Amino acid sequence: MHSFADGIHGLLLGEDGMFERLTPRAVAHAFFAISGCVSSGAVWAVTAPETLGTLPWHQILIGIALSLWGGITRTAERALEASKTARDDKAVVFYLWHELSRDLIVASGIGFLMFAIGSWQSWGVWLLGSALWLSGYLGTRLLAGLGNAAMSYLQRRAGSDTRQ
Amino acid sequence: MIPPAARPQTDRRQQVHRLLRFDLLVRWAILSTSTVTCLLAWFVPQSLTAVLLHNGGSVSDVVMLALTASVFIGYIDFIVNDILPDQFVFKIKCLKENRHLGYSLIGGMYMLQTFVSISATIGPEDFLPLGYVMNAFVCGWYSWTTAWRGWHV
Repeated sequence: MHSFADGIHGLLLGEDGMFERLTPRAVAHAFFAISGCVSSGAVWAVTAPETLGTLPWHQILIGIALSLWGGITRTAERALEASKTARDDKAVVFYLWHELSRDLIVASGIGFLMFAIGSWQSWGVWLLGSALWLSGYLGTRLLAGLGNAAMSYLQRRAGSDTRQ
Repeated sequence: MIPPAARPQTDRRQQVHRLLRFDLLVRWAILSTSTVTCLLAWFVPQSLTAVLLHNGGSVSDVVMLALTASVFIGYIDFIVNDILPDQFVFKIKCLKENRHLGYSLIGGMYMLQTFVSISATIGPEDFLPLGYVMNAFVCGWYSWTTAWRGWHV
């Protein structure tokens, strides 16, 4: 009969435990989620509204949509590139919903950060909206490239560690 | 009673006219509404659109110029790649292949105008941003679905 401590140990460190499933991609996604929570908490601390109802929720929803807009556009662009490659009879693997989810997560994380920076610097509404929109697209374009490079580096490191 | 004979498959009435393609109609609708937005912004200073776009400083000026340029390029694409006959050799391929980005840009600028103009409480003054967000929705719908399917390249 397993004890509670054994269960926790198995959950975290076992063969199929939590840390075994922590791929670099999952770590990157968790980073963006945590950074979003931290930045939104920072904005909350700075603005300190008396009630949630006083927040401009409609504008916040449109701001989220602005940020995600760039992510969806980037997914569509990559889907088109994949279909062009497939048209030339080359093997291509592109899972639309998987890639869309990834771009939405990246765009939302960058959008949170940009919103936090804009609130901190007291940007005007035009500048803040433009930054949200541009960061959604350029962030998925640039940061996803950096993330891929980092993941391939980690995978190379993991492969070399295994060989040793 | 004998039903009327079906028209043969070779009958031209069975085929969709090249000017009746759905994407052509959707693009025409988007360009039409965007043209009205641009004309209001440039030539009717008392309109809500012009007030919105002239009171935002340099950022809103850039948005107005970018929206006008996108609509202008959209019309060039519309005329050269779709309206002119197919045997016309002068086609602009790069405009056709990047069409989805242009319409996503137009939709994004409509969303940006919505973000700026929407108020904290919903009321009659929000009909303008409602129109903006509906235009943006159509732009995104067209842009993303055509790019995902990839049939226009």
